[in-house]
Amino acid sequence: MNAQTTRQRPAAGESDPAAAARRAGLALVVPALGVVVAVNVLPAFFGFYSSLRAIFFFGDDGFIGWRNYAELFADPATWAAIRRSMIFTFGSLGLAVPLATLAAMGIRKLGAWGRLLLTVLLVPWAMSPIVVALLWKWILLPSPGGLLASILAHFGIEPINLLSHPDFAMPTVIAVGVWRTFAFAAIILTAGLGQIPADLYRAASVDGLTAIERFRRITFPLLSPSLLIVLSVLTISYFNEVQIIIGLTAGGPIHSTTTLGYQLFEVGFVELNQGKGNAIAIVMFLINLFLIVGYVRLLGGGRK
Amino acid sequence: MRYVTRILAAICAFAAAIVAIGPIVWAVSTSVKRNNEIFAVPPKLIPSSATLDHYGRLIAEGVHWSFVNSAIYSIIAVSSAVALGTLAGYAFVRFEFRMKNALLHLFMAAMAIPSYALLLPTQILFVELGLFNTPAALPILYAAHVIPFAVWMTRAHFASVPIELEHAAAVDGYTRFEAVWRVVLPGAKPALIAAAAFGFLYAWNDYITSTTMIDSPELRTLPVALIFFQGFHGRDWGALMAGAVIATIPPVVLFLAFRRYLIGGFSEGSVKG
Amino acid sequence: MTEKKTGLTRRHALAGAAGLGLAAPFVNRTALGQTPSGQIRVWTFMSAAGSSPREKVLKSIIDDFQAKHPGTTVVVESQPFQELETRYVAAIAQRRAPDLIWMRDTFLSLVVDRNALANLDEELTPEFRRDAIPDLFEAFARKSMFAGKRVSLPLWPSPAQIVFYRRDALREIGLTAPPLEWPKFIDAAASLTKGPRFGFGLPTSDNSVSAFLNIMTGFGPGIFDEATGRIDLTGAQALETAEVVRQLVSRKAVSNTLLNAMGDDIQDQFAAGRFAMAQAFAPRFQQFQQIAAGYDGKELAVSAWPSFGGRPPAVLLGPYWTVGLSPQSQNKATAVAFLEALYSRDASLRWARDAGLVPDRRSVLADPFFQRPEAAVSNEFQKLLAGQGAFTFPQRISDITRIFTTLNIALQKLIGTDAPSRTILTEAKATLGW
Repeated sequence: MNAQTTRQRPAAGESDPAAAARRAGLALVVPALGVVVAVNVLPAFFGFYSSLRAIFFFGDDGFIGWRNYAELFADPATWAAIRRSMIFTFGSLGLAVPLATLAAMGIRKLGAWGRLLLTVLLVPWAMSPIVVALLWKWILLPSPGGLLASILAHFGIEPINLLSHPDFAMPTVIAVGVWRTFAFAAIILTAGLGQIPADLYRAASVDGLTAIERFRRITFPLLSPSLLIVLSVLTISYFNEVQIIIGLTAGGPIHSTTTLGYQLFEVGFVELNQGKGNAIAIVMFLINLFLIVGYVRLLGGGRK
Repeated sequence: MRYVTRILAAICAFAAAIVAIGPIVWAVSTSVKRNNEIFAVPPKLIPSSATLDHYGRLIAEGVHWSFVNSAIYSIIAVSSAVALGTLAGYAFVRFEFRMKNALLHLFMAAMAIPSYALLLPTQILFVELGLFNTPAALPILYAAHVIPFAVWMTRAHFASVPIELEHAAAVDGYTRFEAVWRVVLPGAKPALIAAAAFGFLYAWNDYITSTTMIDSPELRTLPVALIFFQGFHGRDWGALMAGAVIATIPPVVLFLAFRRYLIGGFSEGSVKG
Repeated sequence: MTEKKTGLTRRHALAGAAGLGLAAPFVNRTALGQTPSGQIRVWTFMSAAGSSPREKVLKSIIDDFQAKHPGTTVVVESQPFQELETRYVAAIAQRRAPDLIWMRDTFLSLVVDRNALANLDEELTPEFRRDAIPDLFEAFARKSMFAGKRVSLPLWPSPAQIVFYRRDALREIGLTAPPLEWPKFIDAAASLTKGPRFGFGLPTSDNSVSAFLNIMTGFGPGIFDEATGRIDLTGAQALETAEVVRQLVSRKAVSNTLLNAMGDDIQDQFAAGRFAMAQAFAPRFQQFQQIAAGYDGKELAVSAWPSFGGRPPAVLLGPYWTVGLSPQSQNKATAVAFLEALYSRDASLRWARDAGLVPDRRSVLADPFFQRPEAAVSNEFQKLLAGQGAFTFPQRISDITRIFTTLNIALQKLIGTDAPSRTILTEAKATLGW
């Protein structure tokens, strides 16, 4: 790499300290960059190439142009899957972020007990999504022998098929996903609250502001950088969530939890239509990129 | 009034703690029940006679080797990702070079790439490179996933350290490397630990990459080994839950050990990012 | 051939370089597709270190084989059971396949189309071909013949998805076994629903079976078009099948909200006493008995499916396991010898005696073991297999990777929505492009 840089700027560079710094900077970035490009970017190109071919069960029937994409976008199921991805993503955010904000405020308020609470809340985050899915399937077992069913039985309620009822499946999957990732939001927001100078609140109480006004005028604006981080990381993570869905509902019932991510699993790994599967992957990649660019803009703007 | 909010907060906190920890208590309970009591009606939280059979079976079927594999993969991936990420993070703050902003954005964009969506082509690429189903496959993939996050966290930290600190060290006769190593890095500990924790969780808990890249039982990771207990005979809840309990211990212990740094590290990443 | 070699060497070098920095426990393992002489690799869903009865039998067969042929090593590499075919074909394409592969019969035609199975007639010893092949169950053995080539050997002849029921529950309504005609079965199932318990449990979300198809088998093997490998989804038989589902739901024999239960879910809920009868995978009988908690496991029994219009009770034989040899195997002699050992009379008896399976070799049924009470389950299965209403899937099923999911979605709609059956089935047909 060094040699290459020198060759490009032959005369000027030799003893110029700025050029040396440029080279050093690049040299420090290159190892990380190399790994990321090789493992993340190259397969993306290869995936794109495959998405233009008819590949089923590892048999390649050749180049078909945009047909996989055309089929995908002509199919109402794809649009329904994108819509469900959005419901899953923003439904999860809508549940996780307000709850985590409340939790973070509670944790700050409770002092030492709050720190203990935060530690307890961290435990679900330590678990593998696929294991979480199985654990909840086990808890939600709609039999007299299931944990939730037996708790409900105390109140005279019959077992509910939370995971296989078309109205309940998506909310249940969202709740389980939030259960696992909640701690990430809570920890960042707790950290963010810790950065807000206590003086501000003291001044506010001198001014006689109510709790709601204090939140609106002090907490929320000063917490917004942390909130943005939480929103951006969780948006991407929820949009790409698939293990929880595979484990809990397998996209059902009647497709009601078939998000775009699950559709990719279904088409690419179960139906083994690998050309079309790659086309879905590219669509997902583009939506991700769109989301991240949006957040980078927001974050960048927020900093200045 | 203040007293009432305190009690209310305490009740909510207690409820939150139950929701967070309750399922894991249920998992522990299931993992020590005998097979014929697992489905008992009504369910029992405390089994009438506890057994460690399910844990014994995990050992008999070699799941502890998968545990060791997971640990080795995660540690190699996280340590190399944090090391490479720190180098890059430092460079992004202290050096000017061409395409700096473009490269920085590339790292950010890489965080958006759904590694799961690219598994099909990644598998083919790894077969071509001879990395498929080798001990090196997963550390490389996990490291690639964690690096962008490490760059982001460390960059945020270095941006908050005044360059004068390094200059002062230079006056004391340190070389630049020594200055960074002895003066700058120790202060970056919370950021490094937060990035490492985030990466470790990802690597330790990954199922889908691991099952796609590894065929040999000897190279298998813990989450994949556990899913075999949801196999041909149906779900073996005792063994599955025993495995879930064991798999949860290392990350929780790490959390407890590094809790102080974690909050500090994340707050730097979020506020000064 | 030369090209192949370079590929492997390059792969070795790279992998070696990459592996250098890693810990020693990994060394000496077969991470790559190359087989040293004397060693063969077998892919199956079982583990050689497992504790289930079947896994113990496999272990004993391997131990005996290695003792009998010193210098050979049989390495079992367990794989997720629903991914065996996919992983194998990927491995063949990438020249790292195992020597022997266990796979489901329903995938045979796809795997054969990828040239991924060797012709066993050219590899098996003359003695085995003379003694063992005719001794296998005919219906299963015939399915392995593609264009005159024997591509695999069927293992564990068994009914696949059948009806499990609780004798205790049926006694409550004065029956000893489920009625074998649909109208009466529906009556019985409806009266078995009581409190939180449902009369009948149907998995509706597995991707390698569909209850819809199992109900439809009550019309006999004619439901499959042999030429296309399809079923007539909008024909009278499919519509009557849909009607059975609708009646089971409207009479509350089947839960109208249990829309995407997998076989595993039904199994768990059955154990906890939620169903009086359920569709279940026959080879899991022992497991069902063992985990029974909501009822006494000794009360568990098996039945064929009810039929339509006075036909014999139905039993769909498949998907079942079948074992093939890789054409890329570097050690065919050892692989074939081990394959033959899996089907020896002694091995057949062990599968039956220790794991409750029907023996692969029919002649083994003459063993005194099958007169003993422990053989009851095996004998029960054998009876179902021999029944008039038993038949296998056609050799080529159209869209095998999609048909079950599509039928299950149709089934979910039949159970959980009010849409007309014809509309639902027409949608399924359109999804498959049939």
